[in-house]
Amino acid sequence: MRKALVSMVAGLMALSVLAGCGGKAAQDGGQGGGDAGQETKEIVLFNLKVEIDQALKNLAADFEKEKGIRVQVKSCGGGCDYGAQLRAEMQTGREPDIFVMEGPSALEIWGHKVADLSNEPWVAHVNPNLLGLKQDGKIVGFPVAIEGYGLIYNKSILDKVGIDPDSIRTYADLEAAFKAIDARKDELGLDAVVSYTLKETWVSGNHTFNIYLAARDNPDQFTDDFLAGKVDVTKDPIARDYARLVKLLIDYSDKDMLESLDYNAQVAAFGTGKTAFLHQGNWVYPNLKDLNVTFDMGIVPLALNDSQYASYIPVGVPSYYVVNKDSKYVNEAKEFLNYIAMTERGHRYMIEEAFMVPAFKNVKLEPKDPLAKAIMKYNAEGRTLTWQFGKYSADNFGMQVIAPITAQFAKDGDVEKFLAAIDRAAKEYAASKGRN
Amino acid sequence: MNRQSTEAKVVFWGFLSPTLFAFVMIIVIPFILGVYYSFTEWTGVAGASNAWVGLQNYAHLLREKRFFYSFAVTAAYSLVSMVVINLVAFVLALLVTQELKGRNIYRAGFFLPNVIGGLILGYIWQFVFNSALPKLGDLLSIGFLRKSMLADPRTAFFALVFVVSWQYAGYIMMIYVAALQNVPQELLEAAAIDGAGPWQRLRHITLPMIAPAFTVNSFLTLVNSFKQFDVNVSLTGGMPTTTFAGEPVFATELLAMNIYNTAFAMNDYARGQAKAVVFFVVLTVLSLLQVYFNKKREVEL
Repeated sequence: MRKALVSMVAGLMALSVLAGCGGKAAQDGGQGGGDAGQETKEIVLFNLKVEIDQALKNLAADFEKEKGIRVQVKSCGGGCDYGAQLRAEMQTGREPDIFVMEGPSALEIWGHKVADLSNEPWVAHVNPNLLGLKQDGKIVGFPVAIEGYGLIYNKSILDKVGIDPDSIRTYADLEAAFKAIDARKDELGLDAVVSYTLKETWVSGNHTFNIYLAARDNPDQFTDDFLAGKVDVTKDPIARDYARLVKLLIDYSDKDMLESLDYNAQVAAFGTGKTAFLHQGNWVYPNLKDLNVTFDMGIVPLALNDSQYASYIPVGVPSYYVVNKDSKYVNEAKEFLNYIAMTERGHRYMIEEAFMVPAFKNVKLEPKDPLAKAIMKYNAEGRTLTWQFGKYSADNFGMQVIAPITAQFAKDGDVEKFLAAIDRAAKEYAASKGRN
Repeated sequence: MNRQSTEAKVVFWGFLSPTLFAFVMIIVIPFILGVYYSFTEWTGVAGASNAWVGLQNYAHLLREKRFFYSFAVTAAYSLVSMVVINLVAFVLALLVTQELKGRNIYRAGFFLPNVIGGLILGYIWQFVFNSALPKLGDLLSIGFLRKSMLADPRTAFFALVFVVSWQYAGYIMMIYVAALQNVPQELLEAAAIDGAGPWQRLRHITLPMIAPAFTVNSFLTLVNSFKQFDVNVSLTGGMPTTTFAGEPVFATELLAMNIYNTAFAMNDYARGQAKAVVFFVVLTVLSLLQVYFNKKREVEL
């Protein structure tokens, strides 16, 4: 009798566990089905930039008040690998409704997920060259912002040394400026001339390397050829100029820290006046503000030779929002994007809260941020290079392959080996892409 | 009789089935799928081509220096941390089983780092190595402290061993403590009466008596070191770089991280999966061998 009771209880327990699983699955299925009537509509935005996390959440709160649609903002932090994390998010069963694509190469992976945005009202307010994320001729990407990078300078240090930042237009100008500052390093209380890092592999593998790909005629064609393994890097004169520029950056930074300096420390060194230049872009402004920076600043180009392109800075759309076409709330997601681009509140968010440089021409607000102003000036003068690294960033070719090659170059300074390694890496990449 | 055996079967399967279900769903099926994917060209995205390519992925591994380097550095790392963790844990265990005031506090204290998640711990120690220690070096004018340990391939390796030992030694210590407490006092007393000193008692009575704990612990530490991922990612992220056979590689990229990077960062899921299969086989063989040899040394009371 007792035995029977025990086995019954055991059987019941096992059943209830199984039933528990089954019940939950059924419930999930029901939610997917679309009985959304009673619950609050909620869209999930998977954000790439942790710097704008709070501003985005504030905007989302106002949007919810106005439209009754909740926007849940999930952010991927500083050293986070968005591509890998997005893959994980897509597997959770609650796919994000709006997510970020850093460039066209992400379409190879997520192309089957994107909704057509060609007929959205904001499209008319964007320059066509900033609507680069297209699939089958349809616009699928909402430009989150435009960004630019180069060498951010500390105006007060340059003033003390007597360097006019606007005069830095060629490699020779840049080298002369570095030398002049280096000579008075101790007197100015500097640790190094420039804040550069090889630890943050996206800095060397994506941003610096982009100069090689983009500072030339026909950068699009060249990059495609390069990634297809059709370029002999060792015979390319611009590659030598590029190696010289990298060497300059390495020689004038804190060599002991090159492979351990993370983004925060790199920005902090510049923000606390320990370096005169910072190899970063306008996205560092919120970080610098947190450091209570008082000096004026601007951006000079990463000049690699004396061509006109040397005096340009890379400006592009670092990331696009795409709408998940399998989402239950496609229209709500589109509405949120419109809210950003088409309303005064959205403009305030972009300019005053997230310190982004908007891609939209209908924005009348003026940024207070000197770096955003600098980018807009370069943009207005047409002194801009394209961002080519988006073509390989989804496969992390820059971060996983080019960055360690650059670090090796930093140690041995062997230009021939450096160029040969880049050449080999591109050919291997082409081979592995061809395989897929 | 017959009725009872039916009941026993019901009880047996009743208790087993939920666990078995979970085990099949989250271990067995993914494992089989994984082995299958390692023979395809899948990139890890549902709907993408997963055409059969035979042994191509495995053939590619043999040519990949970065993978060999990761293997070598992981082997070295596992060996070193196995020795260090066990040594530290055993010494700590000996200490906290002595008649000390507040030894329970010490035990808790040594165990505590193990409670902190590896990721958080890695970031905390990264700050210590990158910011706190160099600052200290500046203040005290100690030259070698000024350069972050994480900036040099060799010191970064030991920084990793150090942090993991710090995290894990307390846990291993607890197993040794349990084993030490189970050593029969009579034996120790008898040996003391026969004139054996503390060292002789340790060497000839305590150590043989706790040999099973050594087996368990060396197995645990070896396997865990081999599978190290979280502290690796957060503390060094594979940095700095070094040169291996003429190619630049990430100096502290252990195997698990190498597999992760191949599959998820470089979108080469199939090759990553092939690496994971090799990893699994090696780990299994190593563990079995090690348990076999350690078992032979154990004594029965």
